[in-house]
Amino acid sequence: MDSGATARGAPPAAANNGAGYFWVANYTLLNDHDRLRAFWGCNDWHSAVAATWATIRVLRTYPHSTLNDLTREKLNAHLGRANLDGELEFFRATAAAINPIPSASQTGLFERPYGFSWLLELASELHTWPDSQAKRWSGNMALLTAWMADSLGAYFTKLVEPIRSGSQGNTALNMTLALDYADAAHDTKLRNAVVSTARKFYLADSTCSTQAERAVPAAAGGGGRGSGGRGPNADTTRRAPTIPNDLTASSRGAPPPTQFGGGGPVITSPCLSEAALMARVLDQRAYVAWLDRVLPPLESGRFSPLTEAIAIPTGPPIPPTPPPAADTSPAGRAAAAVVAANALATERARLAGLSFSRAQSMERIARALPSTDHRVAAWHRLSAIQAERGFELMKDDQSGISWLPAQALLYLTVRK
Amino acid sequence: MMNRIWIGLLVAANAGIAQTAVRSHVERPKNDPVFTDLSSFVASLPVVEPRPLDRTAALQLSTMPLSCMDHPQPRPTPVPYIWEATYTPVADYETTRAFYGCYDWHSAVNSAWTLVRILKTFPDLPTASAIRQKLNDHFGASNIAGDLQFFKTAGTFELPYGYAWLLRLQYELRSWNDSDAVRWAANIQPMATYMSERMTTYLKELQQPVRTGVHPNTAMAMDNALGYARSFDPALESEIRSSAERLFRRDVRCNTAAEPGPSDFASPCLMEAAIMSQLMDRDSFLPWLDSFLPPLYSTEFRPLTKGLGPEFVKNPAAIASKSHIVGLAFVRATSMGELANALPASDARVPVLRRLAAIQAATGFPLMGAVGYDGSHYYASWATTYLITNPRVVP
Repeated sequence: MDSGATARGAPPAAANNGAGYFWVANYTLLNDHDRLRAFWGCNDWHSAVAATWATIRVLRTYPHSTLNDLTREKLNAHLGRANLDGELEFFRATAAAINPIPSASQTGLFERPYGFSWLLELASELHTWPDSQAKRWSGNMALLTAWMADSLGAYFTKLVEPIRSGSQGNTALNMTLALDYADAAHDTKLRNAVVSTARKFYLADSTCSTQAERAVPAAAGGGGRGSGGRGPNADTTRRAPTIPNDLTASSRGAPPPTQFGGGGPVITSPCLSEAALMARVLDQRAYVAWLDRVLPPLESGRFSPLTEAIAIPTGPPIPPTPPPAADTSPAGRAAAAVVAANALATERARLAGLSFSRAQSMERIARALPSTDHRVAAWHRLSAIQAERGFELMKDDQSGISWLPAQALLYLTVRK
Repeated sequence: MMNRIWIGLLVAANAGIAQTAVRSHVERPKNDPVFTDLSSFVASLPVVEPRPLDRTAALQLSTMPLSCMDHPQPRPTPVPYIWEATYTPVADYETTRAFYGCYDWHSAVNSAWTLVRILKTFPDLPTASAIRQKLNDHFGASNIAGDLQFFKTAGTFELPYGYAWLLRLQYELRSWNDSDAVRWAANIQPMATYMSERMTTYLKELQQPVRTGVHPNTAMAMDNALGYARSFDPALESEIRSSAERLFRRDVRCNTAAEPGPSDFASPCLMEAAIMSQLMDRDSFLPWLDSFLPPLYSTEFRPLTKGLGPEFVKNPAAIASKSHIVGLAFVRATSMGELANALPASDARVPVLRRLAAIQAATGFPLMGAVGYDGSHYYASWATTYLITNPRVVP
């Protein structure tokens, strides 16, 4: 919580945004950052928030652990009143400073939706924990929580179409976390915003593109991610040239275009995330009918990309653009080996995260079905298999320490 | 000092453009009437003659890029989370960077293109020597070499929008018989070659087209790069052709109802139709167009012409926050003009498309100065791009 690139390592690096073309930045650490900010460790903001949540979850679940005093000390240092007031001030100023030229700042508001959703998950954990310190921390972050709940609700309702990619921006994934908070804190405004938007986006869906969900490690020789077959959606490009691509239907189930095409699962399953969300939006009968229409039968070949065990990568991923001529000196080869090892560790962590995310969605789906439904046991079993693969991939993790434990814990929390 | 002169010219120029265009301002009743054929639809349209790119327009338009080429990109103003940044300009930027003005890199490139295109068409314009001097300053060998070196480490920055504009600039220079242009083109060629190769790979790897109405739009990148590809780079031309075939050929019923998006400055439907009109042979293009775009007179086509209403024009705050919607008028007009140029001369839709384009542009011209620098740093490029789609260019 107190370390990571955000705080101690290199300052923000320029990537694909032209930084350094004309204005050269010189970075200094903000004065009193440890007093004026809450989530400045763990590599990036949303990971720091998720790690704080994970810390609280462990503390709450194991009240007699020997680490408790240290944990409470850390949480006190990060969740003080001044820290959270500083966060709110930062986000208010950031929102006010968004460039008036819409495309000039295409990333939108910093950390919205994913970081905001995690903050709400953290808030709901504190909100439901009858512990005197937790009550104080919860009070300290009340203003920030309310501001983010409001902002996230507005973000959902203003979306023209859902983000259906397998990345952190996935709309269904973020809506599910927001609902966890809305239900715990009885925030009916946020719940209504999520429910009405989810119905607008997903109610009429049919046949989710499960073929695009094969989790292919981006390993040597493997090419891109999720490069399996593609479902019968508008905008898919590998079909026979004679089938018309009806653009009027393009908002139905088509993954949105990304820089290099893509779609497919990066850290979450678009189909399962959507099904997990709708479990919270529809009543049971409506949900069962909806699920039968959107997901293929569990035993069918079309569902298999979601049940295949994720291969454990053994080689580093191939970058989309090959690097310039290799340095063949001993030092150059050693440096290249380090880069390759890091890339492999990153890829293992990503696949572990994807496994936990799938397992979590499967649990949420299982819980929404009638107890008499014979698929309940199958969903639980599939979930357990995914989670087991997640733990296997997480073993000896060298890359995901800042964010991966929270993913595992969220699965365990949902399963509980 | 120089800046003041250019600002004065800019004000005068915009006033001149505004005068001609206000007369033809479009007002549409709230309840749009329904048309069932082209002739009754045309009869309902205001009579707006396409403006030629004449000396007056050229002089007016040249002032906007002239006034911003040396106006450095704005200093970033991030709110610090824990890292506070202080910014200084890169050392010797006047000799190691080429496109550091006009708000951002791609706008600096399209501003340079605008100056080249105008100078090429009107070599004895009163602003000609100023244009030549400014281009000479920015197109120096060391400036371009510095840019190229930067881009080799900048990942996907400005790919594809800025890359495509750079190729369009280079097409204009290499197809110009002028001793300065020959030297500038030689300086720029290594960067053009680099960007053309990157663009070729980018298109090859693209699994789906980007259909937004802002910078990354795939059809727009293809259109801007096409002239260079056709004349100077067969590999890029062939990749544009096969990507368009793969990504666009099967498309039917473009989703006109989704336009315009909240920050669009281009029409994805019109852009796609415009690029396909230049790539497909006429016999296959005509049926493709009929299955892709609704008839011009139909209610379904109306979103592609829906423009800046009178309420919008009266509300300067609305314009300032939506500088793109003024750009949209010129970019739509460009696509419509390109489409008109590709149809058979006898096709009844040709004069209608030209009229619709002129109406779009007429809503844009009076607003070129209305949003300040947010708009003036790039409107002239798209206004010029539209004007040269008109067959009547008057030197």
